Amino acid sequence: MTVRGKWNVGTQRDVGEGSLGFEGLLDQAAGAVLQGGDPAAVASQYGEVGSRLRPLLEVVAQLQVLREPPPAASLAAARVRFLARAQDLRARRAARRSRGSPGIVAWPWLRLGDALLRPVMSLLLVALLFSLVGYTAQAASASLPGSPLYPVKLAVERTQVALAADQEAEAHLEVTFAARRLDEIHHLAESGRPPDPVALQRLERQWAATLKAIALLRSDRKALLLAQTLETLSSERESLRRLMDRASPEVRERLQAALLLTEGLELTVRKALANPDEFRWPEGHLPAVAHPLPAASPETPTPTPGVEGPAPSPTPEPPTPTPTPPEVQRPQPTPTPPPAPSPTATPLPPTATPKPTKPPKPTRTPTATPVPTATPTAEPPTPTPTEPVPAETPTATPTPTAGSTPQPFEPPPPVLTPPTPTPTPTCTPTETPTAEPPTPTPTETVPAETPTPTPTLAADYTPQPFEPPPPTLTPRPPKPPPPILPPPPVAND
Amino acid sequence: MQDDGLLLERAQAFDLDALASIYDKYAPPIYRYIFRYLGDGPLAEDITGEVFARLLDAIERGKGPRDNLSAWLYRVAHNLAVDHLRQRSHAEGLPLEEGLMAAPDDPTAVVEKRLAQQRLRAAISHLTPIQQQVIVLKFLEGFSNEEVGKILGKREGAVKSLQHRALASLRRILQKQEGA
Repeated sequence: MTVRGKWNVGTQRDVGEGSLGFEGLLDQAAGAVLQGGDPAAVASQYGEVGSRLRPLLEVVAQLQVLREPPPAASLAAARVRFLARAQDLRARRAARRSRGSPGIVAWPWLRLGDALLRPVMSLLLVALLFSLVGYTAQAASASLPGSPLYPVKLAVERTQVALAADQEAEAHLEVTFAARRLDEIHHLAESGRPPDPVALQRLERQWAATLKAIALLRSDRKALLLAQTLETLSSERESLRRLMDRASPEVRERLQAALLLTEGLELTVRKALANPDEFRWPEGHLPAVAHPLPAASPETPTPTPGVEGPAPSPTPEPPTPTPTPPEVQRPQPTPTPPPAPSPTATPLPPTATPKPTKPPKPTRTPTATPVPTATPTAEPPTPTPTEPVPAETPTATPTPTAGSTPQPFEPPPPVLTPPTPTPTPTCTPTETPTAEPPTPTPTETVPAETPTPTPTLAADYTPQPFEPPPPTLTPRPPKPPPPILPPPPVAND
Repeated sequence: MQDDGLLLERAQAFDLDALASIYDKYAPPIYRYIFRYLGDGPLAEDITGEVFARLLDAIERGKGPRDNLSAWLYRVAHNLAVDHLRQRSHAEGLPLEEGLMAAPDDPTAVVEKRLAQQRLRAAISHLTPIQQQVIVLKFLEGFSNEEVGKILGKREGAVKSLQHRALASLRRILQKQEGA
């Protein structure tokens, strides 16, 4: 490497910036200074430019104080260390090669791989992450309530709804998820595990969200989805019933709550299908939920068999008989929630009492024993105290053999609660209901229910969905009126 | 003396002869470069050893210099020197003491020289990294523009511009120092 000796000191003449430019002249002049020239003398050779060059050349001259030769260094010792380390590294590399595990250095072509390795690894990691998330979501899709992955399943569903392209897509999703909630209850029951109250509440919420989403659609789309929903509900109801036949008493209790809810929903949807344009969904709970129990009984009488038949039919019509009109109005007046509770409890017990001497049968017996319903009405008072804990009520009632029946109501507290009111009135005026105006009396006892009286369940359900559902709900909380269910069985009987 | 490319190729295989040649060729100028930048002999020695140790590590990892060995060595040397300069926080007393012991006959002159050197090094340390390299390589080491350009990966024209800006900046810094 050459150093210095490239400048001619003192040979420069007065030159303008010309072709060299100021930087070229500075380079030339600095070279002269580096070779020992005096900055002032060198600068003077550049005429006008010299005045600009001089201060810079003086800096170059000052820098020469740093050019002193460095002290002798023991670079020889460092050289020995350097070569020893090189030898060590060479030995290691040879050892690696002999072991057949060549490093990147040993395989030149791998250097290219090294450059590509990072991005490829990054992509692989991202892909792995996505596949893990996908796998988890997939695994969660088959989970049931109580499973660690179940919350993931629900979260995925909510995300799907949130990302739905439009209102209709959202409604379709809600219908799908609502059917899924029922399926989950099926699976739990089939595996011998009673669906817990939380699962039932979730079922209710899901259906409320579903009907609400449907209610927001255009009438033509609304009718389509309502028909689809009705079909789903009908088939679910049937399979629930079949499942109850072979379920243990404990499971049957919970299934009954689900069945009541399903039946109530079915009636609501059927009613809505009669006039989709007017189908509105009020904010809040499911109207049907409140009446599940009663609904069951009414149907039994009139269309017990029909329930199943018509339900599946896609375009079901307002099969529900006459009761519909009167009911709609009833709910409104009933708004008083407080009273509801007490009555609720009362009615239930009686219903059970009538037939079911044994746990399993009670469910059915009651259904069949619609007549007894009346009896219970009178009895209600007895159970009243037990309201808070339906379980107890039954205990008290046990005498009448209904002990088992009451239990079923306890589990579904939230969902079933509503039906309670129905019982009282229902009994007496099962058919007369429409005329029931006199309801006043009962209303007091069970405000919400007042309407219920007349039209067994059918009436209750139909109206609620459309208008005053809210009130109905309030009263529900009290307790579940399982007795109402019995009606359906009656049909069977 | 062998061509750098050939030496480098053999060095990649840890050829000890090639590595020895590289060391013999570049260790002295690298040491001098570091010394002139830092003004500290022992420290320059240590840093020189570190520069060549890094060369071996780089070859081991397959990431050593590909074609311009001198540029790679000066770049590593400069970076290490700058790092030491920062860490040392201008421990300027040491070189002065060494100088006094080395020239006991005229301590005043030695002190003045050391002070001037310290002032200049302090001023240089305020330049940008590449300006610092141009000043040291061109005006302390005496490399041609072509050689500086190779080390810095610049064309000669760019080296001249860098040199102009570096000198102008250095002048301003020195003027400020004098004013202070």
